[in-house]
Amino acid sequence: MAASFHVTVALPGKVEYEGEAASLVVPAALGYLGILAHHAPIVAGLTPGKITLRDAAGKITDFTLKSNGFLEFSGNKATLMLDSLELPA
Amino acid sequence: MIQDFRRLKERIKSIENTRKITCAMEMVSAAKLNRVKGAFLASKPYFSNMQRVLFSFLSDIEPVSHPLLEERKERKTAAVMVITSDTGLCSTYNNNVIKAAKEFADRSGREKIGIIAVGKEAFVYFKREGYFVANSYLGIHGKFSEEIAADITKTLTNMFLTKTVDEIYIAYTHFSPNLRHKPAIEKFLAIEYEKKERQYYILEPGKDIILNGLISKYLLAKMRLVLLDSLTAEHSARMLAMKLATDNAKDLIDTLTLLKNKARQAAITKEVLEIAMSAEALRG
Repeated sequence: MAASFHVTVALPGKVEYEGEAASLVVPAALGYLGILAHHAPIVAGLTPGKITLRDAAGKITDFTLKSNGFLEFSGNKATLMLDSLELPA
Repeated sequence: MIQDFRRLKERIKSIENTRKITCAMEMVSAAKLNRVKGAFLASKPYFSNMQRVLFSFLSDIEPVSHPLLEERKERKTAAVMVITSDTGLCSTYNNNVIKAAKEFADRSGREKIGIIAVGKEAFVYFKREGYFVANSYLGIHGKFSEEIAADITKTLTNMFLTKTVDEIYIAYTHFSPNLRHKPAIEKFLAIEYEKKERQYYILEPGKDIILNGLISKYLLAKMRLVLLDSLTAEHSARMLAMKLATDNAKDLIDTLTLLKNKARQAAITKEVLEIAMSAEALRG
Protein backbone atom coordinates (compact mmCIF):
# COMPACT_ATOMS: atom_id res chain seq x y z
CA MET A 1 0.00 0.00 0.00
CA ALA A 2 1.28 3.44 -0.91
CA ALA A 3 2.00 5.74 1.99
CA SER A 4 -0.89 8.08 2.72
CA PHE A 5 -1.54 11.05 4.94
CA HIS A 6 -4.53 12.66 6.58
CA VAL A 7 -6.23 15.63 4.92
CA THR A 8 -8.73 18.05 6.45
CA VAL A 9 -10.31 20.71 4.30
CA ALA A 10 -11.98 23.22 6.61
CA LEU A 11 -14.14 26.16 5.58
CA PRO A 12 -15.32 28.75 8.12
CA GLY A 13 -18.77 27.16 8.28
CA LYS A 14 -18.10 23.51 7.51
CA VAL A 15 -15.59 20.71 7.06
CA GLU A 16 -15.58 19.99 3.36
CA TYR A 17 -13.37 16.93 3.30
CA GLU A 18 -11.73 14.72 5.86
CA GLY A 19 -9.87 11.55 5.03
CA GLU A 20 -6.74 9.85 3.81
CA ALA A 21 -4.97 10.92 0.66
CA ALA A 22 -2.01 9.65 -1.33
CA SER A 23 -1.18 12.99 -2.92
CA LEU A 24 -2.37 16.56 -2.87
CA VAL A 25 -1.64 19.43 -5.24
CA VAL A 26 -2.47 22.96 -4.10
CA PRO A 27 -2.11 26.40 -5.70
CA ALA A 28 0.46 27.99 -3.38
CA ALA A 29 1.48 31.61 -3.57
CA LEU A 30 4.61 30.84 -5.61
CA GLY A 31 3.13 28.18 -7.84
CA TYR A 32 1.51 24.77 -7.57
CA LEU A 33 2.79 22.65 -4.74
CA GLY A 34 2.63 18.88 -4.56
CA ILE A 35 2.37 17.15 -1.19
CA LEU A 36 3.08 13.49 -0.55
CA ALA A 37 3.08 11.55 2.70
CA HIS A 38 5.73 12.56 5.25
CA HIS A 39 6.34 15.90 3.64
CA ALA A 40 8.46 18.27 5.73
CA PRO A 41 6.41 20.64 7.93
CA ILE A 42 5.22 23.57 5.85
CA VAL A 43 2.87 26.54 6.07
CA ALA A 44 1.87 27.93 2.70
CA GLY A 45 -0.43 30.72 1.61
CA LEU A 46 -2.82 29.64 -1.12
CA THR A 47 -4.19 31.61 -4.06
CA PRO A 48 -7.24 30.91 -6.23
CA GLY A 49 -6.73 27.85 -8.39
CA LYS A 50 -7.31 24.13 -8.56
CA ILE A 51 -6.82 21.73 -5.66
CA THR A 52 -6.27 18.13 -6.73
CA LEU A 53 -6.60 15.35 -4.23
CA ARG A 54 -5.81 11.71 -4.97
CA ASP A 55 -6.98 9.28 -2.35
CA ALA A 56 -5.43 5.94 -1.39
CA ALA A 57 -7.51 4.09 -3.99
CA GLY A 58 -6.29 6.38 -6.74
CA LYS A 59 -9.54 8.30 -7.11
CA ILE A 60 -8.93 11.93 -8.07
CA THR A 61 -11.06 14.81 -6.80
CA ASP A 62 -10.71 18.38 -8.07
CA PHE A 63 -11.83 21.36 -6.02
CA THR A 64 -11.79 24.92 -7.29
CA LEU A 65 -10.44 27.37 -4.77
CA LYS A 66 -12.03 30.78 -5.25
CA SER A 67 -10.40 32.65 -2.43
CA ASN A 68 -7.18 32.73 -0.48
CA GLY A 69 -6.37 30.26 2.21
CA PHE A 70 -3.67 28.35 4.01
CA LEU A 71 -2.14 24.94 3.92
CA GLU A 72 -0.38 23.51 6.91
CA PHE A 73 1.40 20.16 6.97
CA SER A 74 2.87 18.62 10.09
CA GLY A 75 2.90 15.20 11.71
CA ASN A 76 1.76 13.60 8.42
CA LYS A 77 -1.43 15.65 8.52
CA ALA A 78 -2.42 18.27 6.00
CA THR A 79 -4.86 20.97 7.00
CA LEU A 80 -6.36 23.32 4.46
CA MET A 81 -8.13 26.39 5.77
CA LEU A 82 -10.05 28.10 3.01
CA ASP A 83 -12.64 30.86 2.74
CA SER A 84 -14.68 29.38 -0.05
CA LEU A 85 -14.49 26.40 -2.27
CA GLU A 86 -16.29 25.09 -5.31
CA LEU A 87 -17.01 21.41 -5.33
CA PRO A 88 -16.24 19.19 -8.28
CA ALA A 89 -19.06 19.36 -10.78
CA MET B 1 -71.36 33.02 42.82
CA ILE B 2 -72.33 33.50 39.22
CA GLN B 3 -69.98 36.52 39.05
CA ASP B 4 -67.14 34.32 40.33
CA PHE B 5 -67.88 31.88 37.59
CA ARG B 6 -67.80 34.56 34.89
CA ARG B 7 -64.64 36.14 36.24
CA LEU B 8 -62.83 32.82 36.31
CA LYS B 9 -63.96 32.08 32.77
CA GLU B 10 -62.51 35.40 31.59
CA ARG B 11 -59.23 34.75 33.35
CA ILE B 12 -58.87 31.30 31.90
CA LYS B 13 -59.47 32.68 28.45
CA SER B 14 -56.79 35.33 28.83
CA ILE B 15 -54.25 32.86 30.23
CA GLU B 16 -55.06 30.50 27.39
CA ASN B 17 -54.15 33.29 24.96
CA THR B 18 -50.86 33.92 26.76
CA ARG B 19 -50.12 30.24 26.68
CA LYS B 20 -50.67 30.15 22.94
CA ILE B 21 -48.25 33.04 22.46
CA THR B 22 -45.49 31.60 24.65
CA CYS B 23 -45.94 28.23 23.01
CA ALA B 24 -45.52 29.81 19.56
CA MET B 25 -42.46 31.72 20.78
CA GLU B 26 -40.99 28.51 22.09
CA MET B 27 -41.36 26.88 18.72
CA VAL B 28 -39.86 29.86 16.92
CA SER B 29 -36.88 29.79 19.29
CA ALA B 30 -36.47 26.08 18.77
CA ALA B 31 -36.30 26.55 15.01
CA LYS B 32 -33.81 29.40 15.33
CA LEU B 33 -31.77 27.43 17.83
CA ASN B 34 -31.47 24.52 15.42
CA ARG B 35 -30.16 26.74 12.67
CA VAL B 36 -27.66 28.71 14.73
CA LYS B 37 -26.49 25.68 16.67
CA GLY B 38 -25.70 23.90 13.42
CA ALA B 39 -23.69 26.88 12.25
CA PHE B 40 -21.91 27.09 15.60
CA LEU B 41 -20.87 23.46 15.68
CA ALA B 42 -19.84 23.57 12.02
CA SER B 43 -17.54 26.52 12.55
CA LYS B 44 -15.63 24.93 15.42
CA PRO B 45 -13.19 22.79 13.37
CA TYR B 46 -12.09 25.71 11.22
CA PHE B 47 -11.41 27.83 14.28
CA SER B 48 -9.54 25.15 16.21
CA ASN B 49 -7.37 24.33 13.20
CA MET B 50 -6.70 28.00 12.63
CA GLN B 51 -5.76 28.46 16.26
CA ARG B 52 -3.50 25.42 16.30
CA VAL B 53 -1.70 26.48 13.12
CA LEU B 54 -1.31 30.08 14.23
CA PHE B 55 0.03 29.10 17.65
CA SER B 56 2.54 26.59 16.34
CA PHE B 57 3.54 28.98 13.56
CA LEU B 58 4.15 31.71 16.15
CA SER B 59 6.15 29.36 18.36
CA ASP B 60 8.17 28.47 15.30
CA ILE B 61 9.18 31.98 14.27
CA GLU B 62 9.95 33.35 17.72
CA PRO B 63 10.92 36.01 18.61
CA VAL B 64 8.01 37.48 16.77
CA SER B 65 6.95 41.08 16.60
CA HIS B 66 3.60 42.15 15.31
CA PRO B 67 1.47 45.09 16.46
CA LEU B 68 -1.47 42.77 17.25
CA LEU B 69 0.68 40.51 19.41
CA GLU B 70 2.40 43.18 21.36
CA GLU B 71 1.49 43.45 25.03
CA ARG B 72 1.55 47.12 25.89
CA LYS B 73 3.61 47.96 28.93
CA GLU B 74 1.32 50.71 30.00
CA ARG B 75 -2.29 49.61 30.01
CA LYS B 76 -4.29 52.74 30.46
CA THR B 77 -7.49 51.88 28.72
CA ALA B 78 -9.36 48.74 27.80
CA ALA B 79 -12.47 47.90 25.87
CA VAL B 80 -14.95 45.22 26.81
CA MET B 81 -17.27 43.95 24.17
CA VAL B 82 -20.46 42.63 25.76
CA ILE B 83 -22.66 40.31 23.72
CA THR B 84 -26.32 40.28 24.71
CA SER B 85 -29.61 39.93 22.91
CA ASP B 86 -31.76 42.76 21.57
CA THR B 87 -34.89 41.62 23.34
CA GLY B 88 -35.76 40.24 26.74
CA LEU B 89 -37.82 37.15 27.60
CA CYS B 90 -34.80 34.90 27.78
CA SER B 91 -34.54 34.41 31.55
CA THR B 92 -31.09 35.12 32.99
CA TYR B 93 -29.18 35.06 29.69
CA ASN B 94 -28.57 38.81 29.53
CA ASN B 95 -28.29 39.37 33.27
CA ASN B 96 -25.51 36.86 33.72
CA VAL B 97 -23.23 38.19 31.04
CA ILE B 98 -23.91 41.81 31.93
CA LYS B 99 -23.14 41.08 35.57
CA ALA B 100 -19.88 39.36 34.66
CA ALA B 101 -18.86 42.24 32.40
CA LYS B 102 -19.77 44.82 35.03
CA GLU B 103 -17.72 43.08 37.69
CA PHE B 104 -14.82 42.86 35.30
CA ALA B 105 -15.09 46.53 34.39
CA ASP B 106 -15.32 47.63 38.02
CA ARG B 107 -12.36 45.50 38.97
CA SER B 108 -10.12 47.04 36.33
CA GLY B 109 -11.35 50.53 37.13
CA ARG B 110 -14.54 51.85 35.70
CA GLU B 111 -13.08 54.98 34.16
CA LYS B 112 -10.52 52.99 32.19
CA ILE B 113 -13.09 50.88 30.43
CA GLY B 114 -15.00 51.52 27.25
CA ILE B 115 -17.96 49.27 26.58
CA ILE B 116 -18.74 47.94 23.15
CA ALA B 117 -22.32 46.83 23.32
CA VAL B 118 -23.60 44.12 21.04
CA GLY B 119 -27.35 43.90 21.53
CA LYS B 120 -29.76 46.42 22.96
CA GLU B 121 -29.83 44.97 26.47
CA ALA B 122 -26.14 45.67 27.06
CA PHE B 123 -26.39 49.09 25.46
CA VAL B 124 -29.33 50.20 27.61
CA TYR B 125 -27.85 48.82 30.82
CA PHE B 126 -24.37 50.30 30.56
CA LYS B 127 -25.69 53.63 29.31
CA ARG B 128 -28.07 53.84 32.26
CA GLU B 129 -25.37 52.89 34.75
CA GLY B 130 -23.17 55.68 33.42
CA TYR B 131 -20.44 53.65 31.77
CA PHE B 132 -18.70 54.91 28.68
CA VAL B 133 -20.25 53.11 25.74
CA ALA B 134 -17.70 53.45 22.98
CA ASN B 135 -19.58 51.66 20.27
CA SER B 136 -22.72 49.62 19.79
CA TYR B 137 -24.12 47.05 17.42
CA LEU B 138 -27.87 46.82 17.68
CA GLY B 139 -30.49 45.01 15.68
CA ILE B 140 -28.79 41.66 15.23
CA HIS B 141 -31.97 40.03 16.59
CA GLY B 142 -30.48 36.63 17.05
CA LYS B 143 -29.40 36.32 13.46
CA PHE B 144 -25.78 35.70 12.62
CA SER B 145 -24.29 37.45 9.62
CA GLU B 146 -20.80 37.34 8.20
CA GLU B 147 -20.87 41.10 7.60
CA ILE B 148 -21.44 41.88 11.27
CA ALA B 149 -18.63 39.57 12.36
CA ALA B 150 -16.25 41.13 9.83
CA ASP B 151 -17.37 44.64 10.74
CA ILE B 152 -16.86 44.16 14.48
CA THR B 153 -13.48 42.49 13.98
CA LYS B 154 -12.31 45.37 11.81
CA THR B 155 -13.50 48.00 14.25
CA LEU B 156 -11.89 46.30 17.25
CA THR B 157 -8.61 45.78 15.40
CA ASN B 158 -8.55 49.43 14.40
CA MET B 159 -9.27 50.55 17.95
CA PHE B 160 -6.31 48.52 19.12
CA LEU B 161 -3.92 49.55 16.35
CA THR B 162 -4.67 53.27 16.68
CA LYS B 163 -3.97 52.90 20.43
CA THR B 164 -7.44 54.10 21.37
CA VAL B 165 -7.36 51.17 23.78
CA ASP B 166 -4.53 49.01 25.06
CA GLU B 167 -6.48 45.80 25.54
CA ILE B 168 -9.72 44.34 24.27
CA TYR B 169 -11.84 41.73 26.01
CA ILE B 170 -14.99 39.93 24.99
CA ALA B 171 -17.74 39.07 27.45
CA TYR B 172 -20.04 36.45 25.97
CA THR B 173 -22.14 33.48 26.94
CA HIS B 174 -20.78 30.03 26.42
CA PHE B 175 -23.38 27.57 25.21
CA SER B 176 -23.51 24.32 27.12
CA PRO B 177 -25.65 21.37 26.04
CA ASN B 178 -26.98 20.82 29.55
CA LEU B 179 -28.52 24.31 29.38
CA ARG B 180 -26.31 25.80 32.11
CA HIS B 181 -24.88 28.53 29.96
CA LYS B 182 -21.97 30.32 31.57
CA PRO B 183 -20.78 33.84 30.91
CA ALA B 184 -17.13 34.00 29.91
CA ILE B 185 -14.60 36.78 29.48
CA GLU B 186 -11.78 36.28 27.05
CA LYS B 187 -8.99 38.45 25.80
CA PHE B 188 -9.31 39.35 22.14
CA LEU B 189 -6.34 41.66 21.63
CA ALA B 190 -3.41 41.62 22.06
CA ILE B 191 -3.37 37.98 20.96
CA GLU B 192 -2.05 35.67 23.64
CA TYR B 193 -0.76 32.32 22.51
CA GLU B 194 0.50 29.20 24.15
CA LYS B 195 3.84 27.86 23.09
CA LYS B 196 3.87 24.73 20.99
CA GLU B 197 6.58 22.39 19.95
CA ARG B 198 8.82 23.74 17.21
CA GLN B 199 8.01 22.30 13.82
CA TYR B 200 10.68 23.99 11.69
CA TYR B 201 8.15 24.93 9.06
CA ILE B 202 9.04 25.70 5.48
CA LEU B 203 7.31 29.02 4.81
CA GLU B 204 5.86 29.97 1.48
CA PRO B 205 5.79 32.72 0.30
CA GLY B 206 7.31 34.39 3.38
CA LYS B 207 7.04 34.92 7.09
CA ASP B 208 5.37 38.30 7.14
CA ILE B 209 2.70 37.59 4.55
CA ILE B 210 1.72 34.37 6.30
CA LEU B 211 1.78 36.03 9.71
CA ASN B 212 -0.53 38.85 8.62
CA GLY B 213 -2.85 36.50 6.80
CA LEU B 214 -3.11 33.99 9.64
CA ILE B 215 -3.70 36.67 12.24
CA SER B 216 -6.51 38.37 10.36
CA LYS B 217 -8.20 35.04 9.55
CA TYR B 218 -7.79 33.88 13.14
CA LEU B 219 -9.37 37.02 14.61
CA LEU B 220 -12.30 36.78 12.24
CA ALA B 221 -12.77 33.09 13.02
CA LYS B 222 -12.68 33.85 16.73
CA MET B 223 -15.27 36.61 16.39
CA ARG B 224 -17.53 34.31 14.38
CA LEU B 225 -17.24 31.59 16.98
CA VAL B 226 -17.91 33.88 19.93
CA LEU B 227 -20.95 35.42 18.26
CA LEU B 228 -22.35 32.06 17.23
CA ASP B 229 -21.71 30.68 20.71
CA SER B 230 -23.66 33.53 22.29
CA LEU B 231 -26.50 33.31 19.79
CA THR B 232 -26.84 29.58 20.39
CA ALA B 233 -26.98 30.19 24.14
CA GLU B 234 -29.49 33.00 23.62
CA HIS B 235 -31.94 30.93 21.60
CA SER B 236 -31.59 28.01 23.92
CA ALA B 237 -32.20 30.23 26.98
CA ARG B 238 -35.19 31.81 25.29
CA MET B 239 -36.65 28.47 24.33
CA LEU B 240 -36.34 27.25 27.90
CA ALA B 241 -37.88 30.44 29.31
CA MET B 242 -40.83 30.14 26.95
CA LYS B 243 -41.27 26.48 27.75
CA LEU B 244 -41.42 27.30 31.47
CA ALA B 245 -43.92 30.06 30.80
CA THR B 246 -46.08 27.68 28.76
CA ASP B 247 -45.95 25.05 31.50
CA ASN B 248 -46.84 27.62 34.14
CA ALA B 249 -49.80 28.80 32.10
CA LYS B 250 -50.96 25.22 31.75
CA ASP B 251 -50.79 24.67 35.52
CA LEU B 252 -52.61 27.90 36.15
CA ILE B 253 -55.34 26.97 33.70
CA ASP B 254 -55.80 23.60 35.40
CA THR B 255 -56.15 25.20 38.84
CA LEU B 256 -58.53 27.85 37.59
CA THR B 257 -60.64 25.32 35.70
CA LEU B 258 -61.11 23.40 38.92
CA LEU B 259 -62.17 26.60 40.69
CA LYS B 260 -64.45 27.48 37.80
CA ASN B 261 -66.19 24.10 37.98
CA LYS B 262 -66.62 24.46 41.72
CA ALA B 263 -68.13 27.91 41.29
CA ARG B 264 -70.49 26.63 38.60
CA GLN B 265 -71.54 23.70 40.77
CA ALA B 266 -72.12 26.01 43.70
CA ALA B 267 -74.31 28.25 41.55
CA ILE B 268 -76.35 25.29 40.34
CA THR B 269 -76.79 23.91 43.84
CA LYS B 270 -77.90 27.29 45.04
CA GLU B 271 -80.45 27.60 42.26
CA VAL B 272 -81.86 24.12 42.86
CA LEU B 273 -82.10 24.90 46.54
CA GLU B 274 -83.99 28.10 45.81
CA ILE B 275 -86.43 26.33 43.50
CA ALA B 276 -87.00 23.56 46.00
CA MET B 277 -87.57 26.04 48.78
CA SER B 278 -90.07 28.12 46.79
CA ALA B 279 -91.92 24.96 45.73
CA GLU B 280 -92.08 23.97 49.36
CA ALA B 281 -93.42 27.43 50.26
CA LEU B 282 -96.10 27.30 47.53
CA ARG B 283 -97.32 23.88 48.68
CA GLY B 284 -97.47 25.01 52.26
